[in-house]
Amino acid sequence: MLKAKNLVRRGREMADQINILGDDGVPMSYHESFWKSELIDFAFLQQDAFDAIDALCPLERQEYMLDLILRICDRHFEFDNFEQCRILFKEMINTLRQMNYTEFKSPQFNEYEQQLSKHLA
Amino acid sequence: MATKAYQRTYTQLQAITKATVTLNARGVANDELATVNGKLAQVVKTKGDAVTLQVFSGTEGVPTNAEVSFQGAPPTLRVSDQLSGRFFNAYGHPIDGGPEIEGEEREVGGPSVNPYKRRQPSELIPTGIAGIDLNNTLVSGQKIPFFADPDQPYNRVMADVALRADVDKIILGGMGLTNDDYLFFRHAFESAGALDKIVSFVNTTEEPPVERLLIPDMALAAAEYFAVDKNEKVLVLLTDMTLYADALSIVSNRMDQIPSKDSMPGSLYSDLAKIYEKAVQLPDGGSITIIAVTTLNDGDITHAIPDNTGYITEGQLFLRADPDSGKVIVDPFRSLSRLKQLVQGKKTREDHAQLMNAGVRLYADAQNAKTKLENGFDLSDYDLRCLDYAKEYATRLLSIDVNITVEQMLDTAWEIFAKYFSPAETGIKQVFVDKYWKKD
Repeated sequence: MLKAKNLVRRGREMADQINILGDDGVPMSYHESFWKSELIDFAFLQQDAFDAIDALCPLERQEYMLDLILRICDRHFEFDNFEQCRILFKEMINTLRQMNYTEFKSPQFNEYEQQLSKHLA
Repeated sequence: MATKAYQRTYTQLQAITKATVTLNARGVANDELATVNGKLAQVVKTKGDAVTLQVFSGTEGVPTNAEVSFQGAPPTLRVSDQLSGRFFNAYGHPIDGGPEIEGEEREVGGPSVNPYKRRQPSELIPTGIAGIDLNNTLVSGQKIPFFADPDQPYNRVMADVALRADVDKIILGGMGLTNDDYLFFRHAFESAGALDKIVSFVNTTEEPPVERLLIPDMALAAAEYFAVDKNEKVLVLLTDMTLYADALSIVSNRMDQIPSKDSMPGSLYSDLAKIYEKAVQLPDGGSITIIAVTTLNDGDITHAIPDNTGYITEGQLFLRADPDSGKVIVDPFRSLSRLKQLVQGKKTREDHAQLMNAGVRLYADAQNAKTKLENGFDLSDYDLRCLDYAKEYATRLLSIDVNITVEQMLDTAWEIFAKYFSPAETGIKQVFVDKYWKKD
């Protein structure tokens, strides 16, 4: 949890730097840090209270998702440009969100997880 | 205001201010009406034998030996079906040249409906304006104000909302309306052929400001007659509540009350709540929905009037001129209808809430892109798409001149999303994407 918190904080700092220096003015790692924080924000911190499944998220499921998200964050990615970085993370955020809307460990859920794992290879 | 038998008349005033007079009298109750030198007045304070009256038309020309006679009752309104299609002043007297109303005489400004006898609001009020229906859906029995700068066309929007809403009665409470605004409402209601379901209580800028304190009570007394007695769906429009609060401060500050923040009376919250809490959903189908206007000074929502209003009402609708689309829009960031989840996806299509969230999220991305642009940075492909999206979203959905069904709003949103984004970028639930995503 503390680790996730730090990642979000660092992402905030990177976002500030990107705002000051521009997309091209910062190293690729800044973009990566920023998008990792966005990932935690969108896929873990944000909860859809009006969705029947996401509204009820037991501790077991929270742990599972946080673990999955942190494994993504631990990985170091290689990008040619920041657009590529944005596209990949948007894709992963979307997949994680779809998981949040799906019954825990249902076939559909596992399928989404499968989709994610190809980015983690 | 005929004098009655055995009525006591007092002729010695103790003090006179611009809006109030004070005298010694016995057996007088709060809110009771009286005449002072022939002018209508209302008891606003009693302390021992000292009675303070607010004189609605002002105390100019009132001598210290003015005749004061008490009428023994608070303001009343005669209610019956004859109210429909009529225009009244703050005292409930016709100003349209028609005859007086015949009907039961009821006290105005009484208590609101017992919470235990209410139902949770659950009926959608469609307005045709997507900034409202799509992002901030209104529910019958809700109380919600427009927050707008004085130069925004809030009266026009409110008239549109009223005429499109599927309600049985529309009650207009106009406080400090300019004559132009009064004529606009009159013309709008007449030309829509809807006059028979509209009742108007109007105080214009030409009339004394203190009179407008009676307008909300009159309007809501009429609303309660139709909603409670007739089981009708009633929409009450109150414009402009800032001028109402200004009139409150005129009265309180002329008495010995210590003003609160922004020179408003300390009782501002209670005074406003007394009005807004009349909004109700009744079990037998009747309802009172209140849409008010609170004009802002330079967009300052920390002023005492909008601040207190915000704690009472169930959200607010924020009007803003959008330079990108050249339209007046319902600002999605500052507007909120706190009851929208009671109807979204229940009375509307299943994808409503998800579309709303995605639409506003992408609009927020566009704002970030705009900041980037203003700071002189190169925009990415995504930023450019966001900016184009924002313009179309504002023009086709947020603008107040939109008039389409909720279904059309949802379809328009899907269409715009597909034009500028990939499904993953919208982050919408896959089942809805599969079902509704527009494929070329």
